[in-house]
Amino acid sequence: MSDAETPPDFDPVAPNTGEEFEPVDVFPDSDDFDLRPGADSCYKCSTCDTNCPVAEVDDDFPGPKFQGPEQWRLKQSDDDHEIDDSVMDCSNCMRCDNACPSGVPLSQMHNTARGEYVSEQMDKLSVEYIRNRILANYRTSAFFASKVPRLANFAMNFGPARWVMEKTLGVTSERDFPAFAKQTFRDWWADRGGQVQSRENARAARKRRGLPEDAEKKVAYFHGCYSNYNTPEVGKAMVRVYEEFGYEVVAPEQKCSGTPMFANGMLDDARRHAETNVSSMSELVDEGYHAIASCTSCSMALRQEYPELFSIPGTAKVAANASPASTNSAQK
Amino acid sequence: MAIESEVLVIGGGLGGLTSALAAAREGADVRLVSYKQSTLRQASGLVDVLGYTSDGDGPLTDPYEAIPSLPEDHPYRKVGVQTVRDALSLFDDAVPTYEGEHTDTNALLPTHGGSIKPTARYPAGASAGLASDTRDTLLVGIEEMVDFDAPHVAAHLDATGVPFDARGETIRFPGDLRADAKVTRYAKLLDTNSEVAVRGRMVPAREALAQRVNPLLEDEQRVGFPAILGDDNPGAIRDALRDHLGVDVFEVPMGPPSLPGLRLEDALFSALGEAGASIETGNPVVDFDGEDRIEKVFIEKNGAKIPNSADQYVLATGGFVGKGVESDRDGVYEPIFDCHVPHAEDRYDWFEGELFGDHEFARYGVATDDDLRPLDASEHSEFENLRAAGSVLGGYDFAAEKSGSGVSIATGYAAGQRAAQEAR
Repeated sequence: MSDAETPPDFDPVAPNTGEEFEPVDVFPDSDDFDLRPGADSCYKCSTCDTNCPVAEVDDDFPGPKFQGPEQWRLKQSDDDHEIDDSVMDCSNCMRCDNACPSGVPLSQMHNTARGEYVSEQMDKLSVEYIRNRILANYRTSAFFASKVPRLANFAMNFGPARWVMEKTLGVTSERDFPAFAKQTFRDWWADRGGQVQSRENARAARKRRGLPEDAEKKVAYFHGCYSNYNTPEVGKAMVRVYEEFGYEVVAPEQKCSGTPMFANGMLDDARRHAETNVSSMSELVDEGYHAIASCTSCSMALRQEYPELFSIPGTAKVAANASPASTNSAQK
Repeated sequence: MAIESEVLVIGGGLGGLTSALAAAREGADVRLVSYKQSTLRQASGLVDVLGYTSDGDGPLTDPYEAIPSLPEDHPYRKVGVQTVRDALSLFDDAVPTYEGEHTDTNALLPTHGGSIKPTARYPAGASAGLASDTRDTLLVGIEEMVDFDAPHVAAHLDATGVPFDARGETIRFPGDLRADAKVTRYAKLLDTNSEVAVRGRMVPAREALAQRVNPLLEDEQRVGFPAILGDDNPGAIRDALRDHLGVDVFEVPMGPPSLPGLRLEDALFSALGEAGASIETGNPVVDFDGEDRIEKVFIEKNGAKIPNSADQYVLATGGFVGKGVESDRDGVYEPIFDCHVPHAEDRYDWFEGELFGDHEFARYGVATDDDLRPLDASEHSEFENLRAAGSVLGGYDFAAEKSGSGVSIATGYAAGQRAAQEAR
């Protein structure tokens, strides 16, 4: 019988859902994220694959459609299904999220699969794991390097040292390490007078612009590690631009956004940092601040990855009140 | 504070892009918002106007001639023949890499299934492949690309009675790509002309591909490949292959994911950017404010609802596949504004028993007045400042008629232009 014909003993308008009816619990309650239902939204149009910058150059990478929905479907029938190691080649650019016409949470699937692969399948004594752990915890190395920026800049681009790094950790010597700034953004911010100074600057700018002087214009700036340790000029410019338009800026306590940790599957590390960030940002949101980030991946972490990966109180509130510093959503 | 514009277009496919482009060229301040990437990336990239009548007569030689005899509720009848022509002119101007504007007559293009499709415009890369051209043809398939079985396609073309001999050969693509390499992988390799290993020697990809085809070429005067010849530089790749092979080279449009569709999308987005429209993609329109008139719509972004307000709105969210029209057991509906979608009450009347039967659902979509304003169940306009364009419209079966692109372009053009004029 074809599906198109009405079956004789089945009324589709009022299906048999009497007292005997017990819905089958396909996906039992669990605290872990279970992405298998989302996998079924994929109708395999491959739009995600055509957006993947890795699949178009890397012949070992099967693309986001495999990494996401196909792999999660395989887990649907087999909980012990092992994650394919190619997930480590995903660069976590999240372009596939923007592509999918069916709203499949691709990057969430990739992040979760990568986390599982690293925690359950990766050899913790392997060179790859150690290297990734060091690179993922960039903030820690940057913190020490920023204490002695000249020495760090010399050492990180010192030929023999790079040769050793390439041989032992597989970090290519072809790329220059980004230079550490002589003064971090936060040091500059503190020297300049911090929030008190910013409030005065904003007030003066509002007066100059003919805006009400007591207007509630205030942003909490997530500068991220790179602006702090490597390119403080970005952070300084961000502060000045917002102040120029009459916004008071605060630079709350913050750790790494977690982006390099997601990309390396170090979800426990990322969660620790996220807890600090969400806690300080959500308090400020309660006080009427809007969260901004000059780094686009930090902004994605606050807005998308935290809610998708962690259940930390306040995450949804921060996500709904954060935007990349370049958009005007803060103009409320 | 709402994000403001004169015209707000919802949807980033062919209908939405044309609509925004028409409005922007009319001088309006236009904003286009699109949720995710559109079905344009799944389309063949051929731009048809009308290949068959609603009764299935065809293939039609002159699509414009057939338009006045279409049923009254067909979108072409709402906008009229002249608007279809004007809309195609806008398209020709915005996408100069397309051909076919020299004539009203439909061109006949071979498809990757080996059938012939009547179409009004086609990418320059497909032009050496016209089925009305009498030159004998070699079709080259790639072993790993099962969507294009060249000997099979050639046999099918023969069976349609084309005025030339077609032959198919299958090669391994040089460079040992993975078996399920993406179309973008082939395209990237040819775009950059990167070197690939061929029997231990490094050879630029374009040359290596020509070397695989050269010994297979007999006395054919043209060679057709599946549409994988580059994303950024397709013209340069075809030229290089032509120089190596000594004959014309063309692409056969493929199914999804489709490079010609991607290229068309890129061309239209860049034309729209140049026309000065603002574009936001990635977030859905989830709600609106207004009774007889839409005051503002809300775009959901990480849990926040961002208001966007405009004087005029265009609904170009697509059909069932694009999710601009949805259905469940209770009925068929338009999800953003809940515009009325006429449909049979009993859902077993929505379709026929035969797979390729004359299904009613294929014509489901919003009904409009002659100004493209969606109508409610009692045939009054739903909102005075909302027009609909593209596959969200009902009254036509684009798959059977081969009219999908043409209806999107014509209604997009009309809706965008009228919205801009009214917003002044």
